[in-house]
Amino acid sequence: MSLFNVIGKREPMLDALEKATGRAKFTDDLTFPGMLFGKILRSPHPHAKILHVDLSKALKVKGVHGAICGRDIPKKKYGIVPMAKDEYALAIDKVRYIGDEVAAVVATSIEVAEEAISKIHVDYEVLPAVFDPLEAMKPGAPVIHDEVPNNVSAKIRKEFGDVEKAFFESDEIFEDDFETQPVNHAPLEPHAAIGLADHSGKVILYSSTQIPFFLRRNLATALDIPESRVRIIKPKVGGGFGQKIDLYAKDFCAAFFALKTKKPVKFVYEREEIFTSTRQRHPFKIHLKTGMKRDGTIHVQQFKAIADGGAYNSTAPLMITLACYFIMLPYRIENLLFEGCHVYTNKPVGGAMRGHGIPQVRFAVEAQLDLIAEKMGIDPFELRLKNAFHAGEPHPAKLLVQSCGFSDTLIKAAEAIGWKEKRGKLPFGRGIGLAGASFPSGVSNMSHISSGAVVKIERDASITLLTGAADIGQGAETVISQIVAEEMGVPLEDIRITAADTEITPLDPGTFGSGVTLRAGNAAKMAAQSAKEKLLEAVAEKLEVEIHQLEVKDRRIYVKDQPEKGMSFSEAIKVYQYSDRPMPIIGRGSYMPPAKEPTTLLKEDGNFSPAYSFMTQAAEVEVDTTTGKVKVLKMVAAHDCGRAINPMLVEGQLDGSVVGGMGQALYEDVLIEKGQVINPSFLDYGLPTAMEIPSITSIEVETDDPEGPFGAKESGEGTQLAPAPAIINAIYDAIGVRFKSLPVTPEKVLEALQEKKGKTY
Amino acid sequence: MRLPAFDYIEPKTLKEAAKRLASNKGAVLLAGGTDLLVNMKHRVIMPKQIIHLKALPKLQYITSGKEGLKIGALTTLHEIATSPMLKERWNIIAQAAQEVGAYAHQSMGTLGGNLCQENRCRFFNQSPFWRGVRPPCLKAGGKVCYVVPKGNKCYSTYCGDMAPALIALGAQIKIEGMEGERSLPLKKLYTHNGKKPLALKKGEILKEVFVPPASGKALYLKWRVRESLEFPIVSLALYVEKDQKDQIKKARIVFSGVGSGPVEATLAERIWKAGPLNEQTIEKVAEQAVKEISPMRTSIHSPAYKRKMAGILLKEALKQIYS
Ligand SMILES: Cc1cc2nc3c(=O)[nH]c(=O)nc-3n(C[C@H](O)[C@H](O)[C@H](O)COP(=O)(O)OP(=O)(O)OC[C@H]3O[C@@H](n4cnc5c(N)ncnc54)[C@H](O)[C@@H]3O)c2cc1C
Repeated sequence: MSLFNVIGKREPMLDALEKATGRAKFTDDLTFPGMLFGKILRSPHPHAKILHVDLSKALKVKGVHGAICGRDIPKKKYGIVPMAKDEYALAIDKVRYIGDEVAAVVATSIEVAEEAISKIHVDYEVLPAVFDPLEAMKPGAPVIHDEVPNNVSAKIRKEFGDVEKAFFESDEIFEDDFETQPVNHAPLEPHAAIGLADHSGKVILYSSTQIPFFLRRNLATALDIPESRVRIIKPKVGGGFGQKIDLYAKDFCAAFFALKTKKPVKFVYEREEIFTSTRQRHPFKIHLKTGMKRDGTIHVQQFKAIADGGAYNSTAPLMITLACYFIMLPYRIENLLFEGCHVYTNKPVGGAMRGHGIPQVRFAVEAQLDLIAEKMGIDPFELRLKNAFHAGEPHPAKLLVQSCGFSDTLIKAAEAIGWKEKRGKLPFGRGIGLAGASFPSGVSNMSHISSGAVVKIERDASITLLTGAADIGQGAETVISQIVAEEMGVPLEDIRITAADTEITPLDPGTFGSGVTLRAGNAAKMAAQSAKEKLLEAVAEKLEVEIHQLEVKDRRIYVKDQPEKGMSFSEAIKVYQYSDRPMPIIGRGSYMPPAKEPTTLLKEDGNFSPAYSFMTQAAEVEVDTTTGKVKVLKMVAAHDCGRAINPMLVEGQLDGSVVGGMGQALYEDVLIEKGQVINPSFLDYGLPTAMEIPSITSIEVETDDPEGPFGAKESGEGTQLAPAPAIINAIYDAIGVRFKSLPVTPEKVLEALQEKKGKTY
Repeated sequence: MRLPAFDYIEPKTLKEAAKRLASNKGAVLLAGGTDLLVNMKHRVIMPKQIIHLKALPKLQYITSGKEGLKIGALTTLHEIATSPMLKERWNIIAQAAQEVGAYAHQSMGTLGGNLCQENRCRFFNQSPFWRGVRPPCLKAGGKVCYVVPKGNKCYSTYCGDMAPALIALGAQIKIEGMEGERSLPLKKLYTHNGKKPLALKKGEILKEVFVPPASGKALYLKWRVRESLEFPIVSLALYVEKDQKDQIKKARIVFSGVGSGPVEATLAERIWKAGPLNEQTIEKVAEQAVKEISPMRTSIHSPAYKRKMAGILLKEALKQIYS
């Protein structure tokens, strides 16, 4: 029998019915009386000075209520990372990529706004542009931001152990170069914002955001008004994958025009704008050098990683730091040196995307491990198992890993894919492969990653939960409600949740870094506990027992060893009120991941996450050797997410990770020519469709993490790391070709096969 | 993406539609709209008036008799793909329809619209913002083609799935116009002029596709990266018919995606016809065929890749058609 009543249950998402029936309201579904519609004029040049913007003709179009450009807005830079602010909502002086924001209009209809946009005249002085990060780093390259003359806007160098000595001690050394492509998050819901202003000069912004509270801060900065005059409300969000953590021009413009016109203002991005002018996964060039001991111990690794950042920073310093930190698990590596940098180019902007800098580096590591295994005559599975990290071990970089199911995920994934029977034994064209990974459940040690929750018990015994957590489709609201229901001893349906409204719900750092369940879950659990205790106090008094003797379950409060001695939840409320205690009962929780060994990430060693998840994914593929097409037949995803609060939602994440991993490995590539995205649509940007999805086996490896709420860790971003290398490794098993750049298109496979045959066409 | 403003009419008869089309310079025909509306949203076609054909009920049929097969121009691709009769006796047609876009395109898209779809090009099928990065291209009303440096001819590419299959079967089409009806081989519908790909005169409407009895074997192969949604990177239809003495009477090889119209590789057909077919001659047929196609850089796929795949596809098809 399960210890729990609500935790571990396959509960459908709370909003499943609403969404399945089309009644759920996303930002673009909202409409307000007198609402205006906005459009943004974007730069056609990859790099140019703005000499003059003439808005006069646009302003004359009938139905236009306003037109602005860079000179009209506060000269306040914003950025998701405070130390790396480099962006204006509308370009001032200069544009830096094709799609950069130049001007905006609002009008009574989208058609009128479009017409007005076409009447804006901009004088540009075109500047030389640079598209390749290596070119951009050379002396004399065009300077994209004056403050960064060498175009390298973020850097990290981190070493632990003694790398030089370790290479000297190594029996074999392997060096390889890897390259990854830009990938778009492609959330199905386009980015949207609606601004409303009241007479006092306060603005309410409905936005498709992952982080309402960061958006509040950034929007206040960009508008140059106090945070107290900005309220962010997150309606339903249809996927984000990291793309919706930033403030965008649509947010700024909706708010700015709402304040200016005193009318509701809506901005919605086109799919093309999502491709050109939001964010994408950074393309990486990675040089990886690994020193091995003869017995198969990974002794030392050295990384040189160059991230092509596009025109602005977004998360640059964080991204390149994470790329380094997250690579220190799931294997035990005593010596490691990571040198990484983020380089500006005149291209679409890189940003956080599911895995945030890690999928690229993880691909390099996992692909090279298979190369090493082969050259050293070790089974790739055994090699990983041998080097697997375990809970409680001292970590060379002082990470604190309290629960770790990595070995288990390896063993189970290998078993499920049929490793022993199949690896190296399938006919030419068929193969299997696997890859491991680890991911933090949010990062610790920065106070802005605190999360709060309020739980109220009402007169009718119903329970209201307020959380700042942002559900963007992953089911955060469901999971957090389950945690509260479990803690309160009531079924899930008793919980009413209000989330992600900066004026009503407590502070929360939103959906990023895979920390929602742990952070917001812990905060909610604390709040529930505190509310419950207040109620139990009254009950204990009435039953003449101590509080700790009481248990709450199935809407009943009773004495542990005498279950018949107790009362229902609603009776308890009556008892509480008759004992002259104040209503409503309110419990509060504020949670910050513990900073056991403080680190500032960039500078010192130390633990940086409250908990780490672990996973192995395994793939079976079939390569059509005539055409080069790779078909993924089966994926196994074994994941240690601590305790699965809702296994169905964990599986949802795993299924999604397979699709994302297939995209990264085989299909997706934002193609850019001279700074212009040449495939900015779902027709030409080849996301895998339902037709491509293989059979997926999810295996939950449960560990009970001491820090996570009810032992839970993460199952969001981390799941995205292993599928792509697993597929690439399976391709090697199938045809003996080792691909070091992504995506592996049929064209590349065909070329490689022909090369292998020594045949040219 | 939103549609520009336009007038809309639903003529009651084909005659009326032809008349409207001929008399209004800015009028275009609308069938399923899955091609036209996208081009309108991209503002590469800006019609003043839209003449919706779907109100004409009599153009939606599939009939087969001794004299051959007739399909009305407004028959949907879904009807074609799922017709038991076609699947049994003209499978290549059903199969080609099944390959078009995704389910939604098949249920809205029509045979007529498919055959008359606009040519495609990566410089043309883009939004005004995208195209605004450079002066308009030839096809969008400008003076240069960007597919080749300083190009002065439009290289836009025909990417339809139905045409190669039907041309391989020797299909004829019936066209209704101001001067009445005329028939011509489907092959002749295509001008191979990227700027004006169809040989329809002012006011002409495709009415029916007629396929003569075909006793041979036919095959359609389409190459794309994903199993759905995509236009052919390259596709081809084969048709082969033998006489009683087992001599090849008719051999047809027709490509899509590799020229400004469907491309029939006539010289390769001759090598094939001369027979006998073995590894070597298959190689030769393919070698010749890829010389007859002229893929250009009009999509995200390189011409070299298209050529390579055309050869591979053809060899596969030749092997398959005899097995
Ligand atoms: C994402 C996507 C994927 C696609 N993939 C494919 C694909 O794989 N293969 C493929 O072949 N097509 C594809 N298409 C294009 C299109 O969906 C199909 O070609 C479809 O069959 C067009 O038919 P329709 O009835 O919708 O044409 P419409 O859009 O209505 O018309 C297309 C053109 O033909 C003209 N026209 C229509 N009917 C007649 C007539 N009876 N006489 C004269 N002119 C006429 C119209 O004026 C218009 O110029 C795709 C489209 C999209 C958007």
